[in-house]
Amino acid sequence: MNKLQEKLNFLLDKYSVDVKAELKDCKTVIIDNKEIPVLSHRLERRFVELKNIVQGGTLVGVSVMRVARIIERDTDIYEALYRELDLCQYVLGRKIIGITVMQNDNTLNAIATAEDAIVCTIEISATLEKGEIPKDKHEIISQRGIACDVVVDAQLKQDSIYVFGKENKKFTDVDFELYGLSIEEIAVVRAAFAIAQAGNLDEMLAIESNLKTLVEKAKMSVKTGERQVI
Amino acid sequence: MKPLKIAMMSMTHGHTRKYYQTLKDNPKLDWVAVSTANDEVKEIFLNSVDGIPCYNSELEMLDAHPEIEAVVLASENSEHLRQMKLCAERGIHILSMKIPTFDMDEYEEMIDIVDKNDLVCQVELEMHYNPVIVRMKELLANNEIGKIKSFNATNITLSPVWAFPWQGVPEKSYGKRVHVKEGDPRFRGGALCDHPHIFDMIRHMTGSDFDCIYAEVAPNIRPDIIEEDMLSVIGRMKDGTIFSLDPSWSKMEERLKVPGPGWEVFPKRMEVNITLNGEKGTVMADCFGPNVYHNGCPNDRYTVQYTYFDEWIGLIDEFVDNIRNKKQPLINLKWHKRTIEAMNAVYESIATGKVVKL
Repeated sequence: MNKLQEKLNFLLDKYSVDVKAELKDCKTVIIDNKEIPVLSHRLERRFVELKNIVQGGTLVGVSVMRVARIIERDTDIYEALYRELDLCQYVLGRKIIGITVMQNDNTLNAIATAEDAIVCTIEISATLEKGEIPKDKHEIISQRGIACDVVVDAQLKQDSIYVFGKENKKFTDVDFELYGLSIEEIAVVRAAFAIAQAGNLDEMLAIESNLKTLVEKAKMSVKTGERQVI
Repeated sequence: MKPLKIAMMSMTHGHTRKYYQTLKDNPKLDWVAVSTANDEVKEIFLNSVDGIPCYNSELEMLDAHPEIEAVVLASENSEHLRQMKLCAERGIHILSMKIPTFDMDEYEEMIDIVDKNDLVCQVELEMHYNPVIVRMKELLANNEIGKIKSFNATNITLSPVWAFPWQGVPEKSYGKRVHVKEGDPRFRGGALCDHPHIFDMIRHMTGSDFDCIYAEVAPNIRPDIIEEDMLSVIGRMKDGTIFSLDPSWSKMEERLKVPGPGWEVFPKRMEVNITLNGEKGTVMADCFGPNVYHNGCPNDRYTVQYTYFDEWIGLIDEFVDNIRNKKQPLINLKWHKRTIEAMNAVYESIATGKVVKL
């Protein structure tokens, strides 16, 4: 966490943001003695670009957002659902108004409906071995075009650099200012910095509250076997 | 083994052209004749295949060729029962398209006809003859990922309604005109009716049957067609396996009258991807990949050129074997009935907004 805090301090100093922001962990930043959710996934560049494509008029007439995410076993699938529900709302710029979920141990599948009758499907499983990088895909389908964070005709994301030597390596570096951090770490620092810069503490808390409600509704759907309306 | 004397009827189904090469090349077959449903498909056929007698009516063909032993019913769904009766009267074996009918009374009648006349009726679900599927089944049999916990699959394509207009007519694809839900102007008969494969495959891979289904229909990406083109399905099998199925027409197409180069607007015209999450890990599979790519003629668009599409070879081999050796097809009418019931449950869930128990 020290490394991330150092980078955050660097950005705060460089851009003259006179706010004391302390990363409690990768999910929370403390500003004005308030614990604020950073929702760092929103600051991954791929989701920023997907949001811009969807909300900037590149796609016309959105119909469906499809999400699949496979994570390490023994991790919380509802935490993953929280993340993906947030990404659906963030990318689409719409609220989710209903959700139906089926769960089998460490896997779950959900259909959520958003405003304008847009349908989101979310498939989550915690089945990867410890240390394996999450596999995911986010795709938005519209009357005029499809946007996706995985290249056409591929199942997995690509990396920027592949090294084939005695030891095979791969690298994906996406941020010059924060060079050396992973994509996820960069997102944490960027998200905390964005909150400190914008000062939108109440907005972030409201988003968190909505997401907690959605996850509770998801659990209720599993329990009742019925669609839950938000 | 004596070659099987085979014919085709109607020639209106989207899979019609898949049979041309196999029926000509397979030494176990003697392709006797075809009958076409209208002048348009007759012209397409005559432009595609040489040397096979082509008749304007089924009866004319059957009367002219009493030697016909089997027929591929390459027709719209609404014609299947009538054509099955026609074949059964003559003791002709049947290769049915993937949706025999959605009407379960009609379905029972089909089973009865086939049983009473001691016919082979194989349902065309060609994914079983796809090598990626064979490998997946092998991985499961070898217990690579343990028991399946979730089965997530896409069976997504462009919409065939411009080339095969009956698929855009609810009475011909679904059997009747039923709104997808109250207040929705769209009718049943669209993308779901085109994509039974993943509903079938989950039954094979889990060895279980459907317990409950929930589905939502999304806004059409083709607002000018009157059937659903985008839908999402989740549910649970009786063994506890959960699933997520996407049977949409989610790949946009040029509105060609005859499928061919330049059909794609989205680079990839079709995808069947399956992810199996198990007790010990995950298997992700693309049943039609990897491929080659170009951005050449006719539209200079980046396009996926498929490198494997030979499912019909294995399918026809099995069909001949079933007839000659009096075997029950892997996909027979009785087996397939529960798949069709599940697809009907999808429509029921969309209409009611409820989880449907099977």
